Amino acid sequence: MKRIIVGEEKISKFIEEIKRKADEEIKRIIENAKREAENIINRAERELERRVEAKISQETSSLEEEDKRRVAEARLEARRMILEVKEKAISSVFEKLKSQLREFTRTQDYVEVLSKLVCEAGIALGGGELIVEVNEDHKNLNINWDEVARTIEEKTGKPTKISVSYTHVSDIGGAIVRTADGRFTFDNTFEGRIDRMQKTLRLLAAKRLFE
Amino acid sequence: MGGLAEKLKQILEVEEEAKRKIEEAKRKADEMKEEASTRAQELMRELDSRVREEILRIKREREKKTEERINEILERAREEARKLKEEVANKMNDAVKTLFEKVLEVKI
Repeated sequence: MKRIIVGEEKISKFIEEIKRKADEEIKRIIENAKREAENIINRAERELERRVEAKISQETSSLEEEDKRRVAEARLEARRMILEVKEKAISSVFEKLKSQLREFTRTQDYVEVLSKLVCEAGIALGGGELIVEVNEDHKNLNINWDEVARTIEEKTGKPTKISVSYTHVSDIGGAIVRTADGRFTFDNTFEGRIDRMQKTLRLLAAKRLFE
Repeated sequence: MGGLAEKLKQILEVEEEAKRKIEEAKRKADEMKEEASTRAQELMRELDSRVREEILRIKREREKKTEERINEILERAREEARKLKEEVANKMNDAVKTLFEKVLEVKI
């Protein structure tokens, strides 16, 4: 009877042992599965983040380029705005200059300046037989053409004769001087002078206006 | 002997039950891993929409900053242009006078 009791106790313990081991095994299996599932999710999340970052970095770089381009365009536009103001100011100076020169041709001082303009052109052409073209309304101007010819002669050392032709040569004033053979012409109208001196005049205007 | 047989039967039953529970646990474990894999695949499928959303957010942020920067540049230029016009207006007569004298400067 005692032996059977001992046997029963052992069997009960054995059964408990089976249950305990089974529970442990179940716990291990579930914990492993949980860990593995967590790892799968973690790996996926990390991979997702990596891919998201890579794509964003790629896209951001093209956005940056676009932003840089737009800011550069704005800077150009800003520069263009300032240049436009400067250009308009310089154009305005030239307009006012022409207007002032036009007024000047109606003064007594113009006669002396016109004589000098013709002299300068005549000297540059080397004297000789010259044709001077001036505006029709210059007929009334009291210019001593002989004196002009004499000055040219003195400077060039060449006998000089001047023929005056009254025609429309300029909207402002001045003269065009040609050699009689028609080979050389010196445009000393105010427009001609302004054209020749364009660069110098623009520079002067810019210095006066913007410095 | 009858008691012993009973006990043996009990052991077998407990062992069977334990095996069943372990099998059940394994199935559950497989299910958990399967679910995790499915979730992982779903996450990957979310990639495009995540990227689109993030890019949109970054784009909006950048757009705002860039617009502010551009407005600042243009506003500064407008202010500079306005001041320049004022300065130029004051210097205009002097510039015209200088050019006038230069044009009349005839060297003989």
